[in-house]
Parts: sequence; C-alpha cells; structure tokens
Amino acid sequence: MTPDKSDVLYGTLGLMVIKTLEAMGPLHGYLIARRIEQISGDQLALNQGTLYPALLKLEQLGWISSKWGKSESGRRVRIYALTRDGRRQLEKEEAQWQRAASIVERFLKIPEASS
Amino acid sequence: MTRLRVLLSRLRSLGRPGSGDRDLDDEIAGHLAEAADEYVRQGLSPEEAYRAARRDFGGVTQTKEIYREIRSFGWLEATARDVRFAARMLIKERWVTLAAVAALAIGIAANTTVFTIVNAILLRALPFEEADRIVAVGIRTANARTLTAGVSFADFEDWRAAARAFDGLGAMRETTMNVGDEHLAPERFVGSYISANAFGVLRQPIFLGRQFSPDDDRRGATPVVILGYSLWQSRYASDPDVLGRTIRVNGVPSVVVGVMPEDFSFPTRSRLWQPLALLPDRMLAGRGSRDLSAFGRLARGSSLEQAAVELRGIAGALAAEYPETNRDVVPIVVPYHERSVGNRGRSTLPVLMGVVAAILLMACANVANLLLARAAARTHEISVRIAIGAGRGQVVRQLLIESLLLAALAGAAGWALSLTAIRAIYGALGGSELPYWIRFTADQRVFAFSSGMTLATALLFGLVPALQMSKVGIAGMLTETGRTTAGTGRSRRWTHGLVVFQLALTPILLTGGGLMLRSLVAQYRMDPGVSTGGVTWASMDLPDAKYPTAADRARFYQQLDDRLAAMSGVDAGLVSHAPFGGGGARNLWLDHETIGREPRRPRVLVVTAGPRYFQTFGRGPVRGSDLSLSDAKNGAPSVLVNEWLAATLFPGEDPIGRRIRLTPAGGVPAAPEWFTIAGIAPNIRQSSTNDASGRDGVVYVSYGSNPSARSNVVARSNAGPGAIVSALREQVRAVDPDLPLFEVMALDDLLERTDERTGMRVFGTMFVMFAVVALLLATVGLFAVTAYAAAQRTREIGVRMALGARPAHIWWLITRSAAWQLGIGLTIGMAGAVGIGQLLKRVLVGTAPTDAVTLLAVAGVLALVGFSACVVPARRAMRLDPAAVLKAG
Repeated sequence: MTPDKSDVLYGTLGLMVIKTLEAMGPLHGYLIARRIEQISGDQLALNQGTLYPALLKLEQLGWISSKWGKSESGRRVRIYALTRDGRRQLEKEEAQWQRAASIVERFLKIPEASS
Repeated sequence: MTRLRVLLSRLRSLGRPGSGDRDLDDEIAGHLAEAADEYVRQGLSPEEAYRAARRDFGGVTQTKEIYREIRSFGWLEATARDVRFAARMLIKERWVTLAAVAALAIGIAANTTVFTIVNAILLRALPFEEADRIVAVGIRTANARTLTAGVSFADFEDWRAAARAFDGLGAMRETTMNVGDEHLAPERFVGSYISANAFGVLRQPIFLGRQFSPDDDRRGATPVVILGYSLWQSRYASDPDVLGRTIRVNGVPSVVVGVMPEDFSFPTRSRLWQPLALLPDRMLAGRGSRDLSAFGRLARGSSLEQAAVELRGIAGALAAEYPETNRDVVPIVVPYHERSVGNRGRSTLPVLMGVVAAILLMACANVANLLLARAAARTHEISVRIAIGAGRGQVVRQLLIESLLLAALAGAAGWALSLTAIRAIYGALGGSELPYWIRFTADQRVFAFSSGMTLATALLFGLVPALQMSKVGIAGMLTETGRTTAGTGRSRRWTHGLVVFQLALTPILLTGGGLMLRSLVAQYRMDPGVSTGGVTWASMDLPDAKYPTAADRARFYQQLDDRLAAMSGVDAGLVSHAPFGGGGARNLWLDHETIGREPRRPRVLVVTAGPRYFQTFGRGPVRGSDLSLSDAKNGAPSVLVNEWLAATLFPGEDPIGRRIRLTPAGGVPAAPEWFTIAGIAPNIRQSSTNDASGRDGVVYVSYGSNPSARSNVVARSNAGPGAIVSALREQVRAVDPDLPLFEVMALDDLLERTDERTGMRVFGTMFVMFAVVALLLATVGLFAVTAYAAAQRTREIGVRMALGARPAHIWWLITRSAAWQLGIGLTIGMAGAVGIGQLLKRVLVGTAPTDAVTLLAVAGVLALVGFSACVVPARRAMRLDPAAVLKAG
C-alpha cells in the first residue's frame, strides 16, 4: 500500500486550515488557500491542490463541515465552516503547538548561548 | 471515537462511488476559475490567468488520487480493481483458465469426497449420550490381534454378572425377520435380537410404549417385540393402538410393547427388535456357538484397559472351568465406532486420503507450471506495471488474487463434483453394510475443510509463480532484454519427471478401465443358454425359528411345489441359483472311484432345484426324467447333469443310471452321499467369469435331498408378470401365511444386478474415472511445460526465424521435449498397461488381458491428447513475428 500522504499535510496544514476558518468564518477552498498564503507572507508556496485532501480529512474527523454555496462572483463552490468539535480541537492543537514550538525554540537557543 | 467517525464517513462514500469524484471535479473547476479571476484582475489575459491558476494548483490528478484514497478504503477499492482485472485476465485466457480449473476441481473434489467419508465414518460421534464411553466387546482367538469372533450367550451372561467396569453390557444379533399379520401380506425386514438392557446401555429413550424388561429376556416369557419408527409408519400407518397387538415375527406370535423413535436402527439397519430369549436354541446353548455381538458402556472412572483387564480375568476363570470351548478366548474391548466401521475401512481411509492429497499436489504442480508459462508471456505487462510505479507487493497481490479467483472457481466446481461423487459412492455401496448413523453428508466441518483446502491450494500453486513473475518484471525493466530463466535445471527436471509420471500412469488406468468395460460388454453379450425374458424371480428364506430341521423344510418345499404344479397357465419351479448366479463348487467322483486326495478332480457347480425348473425356460430335460422332491428317501437321490458335463465325464457312454458322489472343495466329509443320474439337463451357464468358454459342468440336486433354508421361485406365464407375482404370493401364503417373498423382480433385472456385473460396472467406472483424471492432469501438465518452454524461448525463436528457420524447424524446436516426455511416458505406461491386464486376468470375461483394441485405443488417445497439448504453444511460436519479437527485446 502507498503511505498515507495526507498525514504529512494534516499536522501543519490542517491546523492552518482550522485556524483560518476560526479567524475568517466560512470560506471556500480557493479563499482558504489564498488566506494561508497571505498569512505566511507568501513564503509558503503551497500547491493549492494539496489543500483538498486535507479538507476532506478534516471533514471526516468532523472538525469542519461543508456545503455547496455561492462565491462572491456567483460561482457554485463548496464552503467550509468550523464545527464545534473543530473549535474545541483547535484550542487543544494550539496549546500543543505552542508547547512544542517553545520546546524547539529553547533547543535552538542552546547553541547560541554557548557560542 | 474519531476513528469510528472516519469509518462511517468512508462507508457513506462507499455507498455512492463516483459521486465524490464528480463533486471534487466541480470543486476544482470552481477553484481554478476563482484563481483565474484574480489573475485577470491583476491584468493577465484569460489564457495566461488560467495557466497561472493551474500552476498554483499543482497536479490535479495527484490531488484526485490522494483524495480518493482518503475518501474510501483504499485497499478495498484496489482489491475490487484487482479482482475485476483478474477476472478479465481469466476470461481472456479462457483455455488456460479452463485447464487449470478442471485440474484443480478434480483435486479438490477428490479430497472433499474422501474427507466427507472420513468425517462420516471416523470423526462424527455416535448418536448416543456420552457416546465415547460405548465400547464393543468381543473376543480374539489366540493368534489374531484384532476383534474377530462373536460372543456366546453363556459367556456373555457370565461376563455381565461379574464385570464391574461397565455401566451395562448388552448383546445382540442382527438378522432378518419375517413379519406376519392377519390382514397384511408378510414382509421381510432387517431386525435384531437384543438383550433387554441394550437400549438402556445406549441411553436411548423409547418413542411409544415401554422398553424390554429383564423378564422379557427369560426363556419361556411371553414373546414381545419393539418396532422401529419407519416400520411402524409403513406397515401400521403410525397407529398408536398397535401397542398390545400381537403380530407374528418369524411365525412366533409376539406382543408389540413399544416403538423406537425415528432415526434409530441400532446396530446397523434394524427395523424391529426382539429379546435374545427368542433366538433359536442352538444359538443360545453351548459356549462354543459364538453368534452374538456384545457392547457396553464403560463406568465412570474406568478405562478401556481396565475393562479389558477385568474381562480377561473373568475369561481366565471361565477357561479353567470350560477348557474345551474357552481355552483360547481372550476378550478385547475397543471403542464402539471402531468396531462398527471395521478394520478394512479404517486402514483404507488414510491411504485414500494420501492418494487424493497426491492428486491435488499433482494438480497444483501442473497449475503452477501453467501459471509460470503464462508469467513468461506476461513479462512485458508486468514490467510496464512496475515501471509506472506499482510496487512488487502490488504485483504479487494482483497475481495472488488471480490465483485465488482461479482456486475459488475450482473450489465451487470441485464441491459440486464431490456432491455427485458422494451420491454415486453411496449408491454403489448400497448403504446397507454401514451403520445407520453413517451418512455421507457434508457438514460445516467438511465445508471448512474444503474451503481451507481451496485457499491453501491457491497459495500453493500461486505463490511461486507470483514471486517469480514480480522478479521477472523488475529484471525485464532493468535489462530490457532480460528473460530470467524461471526455474533452475533441477526444478525443470522435476517438472518434466512429473509430467512423464502422469503420462505413464494414464495408459495403465485407461487400460484397466477399458478392459473392465469390454468385459462388461462381453458379459452382456453372453448367452445364458436359455431365454430368460419374461421370467419372474422371487426369493424366500425359511426362518430357523419355524423350520428348525431339514425335514420341516423338505415338507414345506413339497407342499409349495405341489401347489406350483397345480397352477394353471403358469410354469413355476424352485431353484437355488439363477443363470450366471454361480453354484456350490464341488469335486465330483464317479461310482467306481474311491474318494482320496487326488488333486485333479472334475470341478462342478451344484444347483439345487425342483421339478419343472427347466420348463420355466420353455425347455425340459434333454433326456431322462426331471428332478423329483419325493425320492430322497430311496438311498441315492436322483440328480441331473448338464450336457457339457455329460459329454466330458461320459464320452460315448450313457450317463443315465450312473452314480456319483460330491465332496466340498475344502475337505472330505465322513460319508459323502450317493446320487443317481436320472437325466440330462440343457446347458445353462452358471458362471460368467470363469474361462472364456464358460462351459461349467452343473449338477442339479433336488430340494428334496438338499432342503436349504434359502430358495427362489422362477415362474413364467402368459398372463404377465404382475399377475404371476400375486398368484405366487397366494400359493406361498397358503402354505405359510408368515413367509414373505422378497427380491421379487424380472429375472433379467436380477441378472443385471449380479455381483459380477455390478462389480465390473463399479470398478470399470472407477478405473475410467481415475484414468480421466490422470489424462486430464497429464494433458494440463504437458501443455503447461511446453507452453512455458515456448514462452521462454520467444526471443531465441525470433532470432532463428530472422536467420531463416522454417516453420517446421520451429515446430520441432517446441515439440521436441514434449515428444520425448510423451514417448517415455507412453513406453512405461504401455508396459504397465500390459501388467495391469495380467493383474485383472482373473476377473476379465471374454476379453484377453492384452486386448489389442483396448491397448491400441489407449495409445491412440494418449498420443492424440499429447499432440493436442503441444499444438497451441507450437503454433503460437510459429506465428511469431520475428521483427516484433526482436524489437521487444
């Protein structure tokens, strides 16, 4: 079997997606992608296509929900929204991420201090 | 919890395959359009904008693939895909599929069939409570190791009184019983005399009425009888008022006290039971007459060994007391089911299992070869698959799924085949010899065995080719021209050896079957000497209880014969053996000869008959007078000899008035009786398998001088067979109202059922069946090996053709090895075929053991089949396009 490629995305991309939805409210896929790129200061050259497997995975987990709707230009698009479970999960993930990030940060500072 | 949610979501999408794909397509289209809009707003042309949007998006196909994998059970869809592909492959190569399925189905069917029998006979428990404690008790004589002899009534009584290791000891004797009632025609059933406690020992409850009580077992007690359910149903219309009624069993008025439940026919096929006390006196008196079978239930806490030791102690005391009869008596105790099956069955079955396992292995080896051959042809396909990213595991999985599908097909076919085979075997065995609880039915255990075997088979024949192929694929991709020689020299020799073995086995089996079938035909063509058409046959068996002495039986025959003679428009007579039915083998001595140990005596067949026997066939004695029932008292009773015997014994003399004596083949009695030849009988063939001439000397003895218990009536009338039967029944009933006629049928039907013809049919068919199996396996094997070799040499053939080899060369190149194998196999096989002819010599009729027609036909069939097995691969090779082959590398 091929390895589950989406797992790689899910860790960071999934967190970015739910954070985006929390901040912006319901969005369709293209806007989510653009938003993530903008927030990252266009440093994250995201293959926008990779977003969709991540969205599906999050929906399967029940953290986001989706329904067909209209974009600003009147196109039929699928609009994603954060669920209550998703919101709860985001809080958990944020805390975890902060902790993990701070640990890594501390590690990265050690060589600076000693040099 | 989350896992469950994911699972549910996937299940939902599984319900509507494809719809998710469409949604995603729409979504991606929407995404690209939005992105393009933005680029347009930034000033790009629509085309450039769309291209930019596509660039940002990345691989649409990859996205869809990953998406699809998340959405569903990836492996399930992949498997479904593989199954569909495998099915397409199997259909595409339908000849290969057919060959493989046929070979495997035969192997699986053989194994399932044998296992069904093993399961029924050895594995299933007896239908009694705590059946594992039920044992058979018998004796063995001093030097035999197994249970050989029955138990005498007196010994049984003493054992039962003294033994403590049993919760109960019972005894029985199964025989046939004639049942008579006031208003019903008498009927004959299998029935048992059984000790009163027997059903108690089995813990078998009764259906109606009461069991036997110890009082019933005393001599002189009111005779009682317990009916079996099926007899109660058929003869007494399930009437519960039958209890208390008096019926006659072997002429003894007996009170019906009970009815046993359905599906109970202990010990094997009994349909009614009477207490042991009603057995004829001679079976109950004396320790030397060992006519009973004993069985018991081991007491809790005592083992087989303890029971045997205890019984031996008791037997030792009895031996000291009655040395004359009991000196060599050693009781032995075995589990009951061992006794009921018999040693032969128990020792044959494992051998049989080995044989069918070997057949299955052979089938697997052939199919593996077949798949290897195909693997070589599919190298290209596999390398392409690997090149576009299929892992080795995926390739192996794909191939294993093909194998599994193949095995599943074969399993289903084999299962169906086995059901037919089991029915045929059960029919051939007649079922009558086996205890009633042995039924050759499939249960979960058989099904589990069969499916397990099918699975194992798939792995067995599929794994090696699959691994080999996946390797071939990689090599093919890396080296372009790579053709790994799958199979080392040793393994190739081995497969060739296997094919030769199968090819050699085939003519042997085919010849055996062919000879048997030709004998059968010869036997059908054989002329009995008289016309048997329109003659009716019926059997009688005078029960011991009612006709204890020869004088009683002689009186019966005299009365019956008088009545038969008086029937108008009917020729009817008594006879012991039908034409082709054999006779008692005796040595014959003439009046001037003294009986001694002279080795070469004229062997004759003795047939007991009554007056008018020959008239039934429209003949009479050729010369002299007919048999008579009444001259037995005159010292030398009259007999007839047939013309063949008269011609050999008395060439040129008149045999009438000469005296002869007859002695059994085994030994010489003290004072053999004298017989006077009163007439010459027409030639009627009694044996069918003797020498080709079949000219047996027959001596016809009268029922007056030899009133045996078993006899038959033959009759012919112009009124038709139905009328005869009822007229005969009437005459017999007038003499003995309780005596049933059985085996009532047309004489021609009886001849059809003679042991020899049945045996020939059954064994002939079996031989042919095995031969077909061997032939099929051999063909598949040869085809596989040849096709494989051809596929491996594709490139070589291409080169040769490019260099100018003619098709004939290519043909020879491919078929040479097959021709060798065929040649060797056929040589060994034909030698074996001649051998089997010699082995079968004694049972063949009118057919030479080296029957040219059979042997030529067998050799022809084999050569033809061998040839056709090579044609397909050879022609495929000849049609190769050298340019294409060489380009493909």
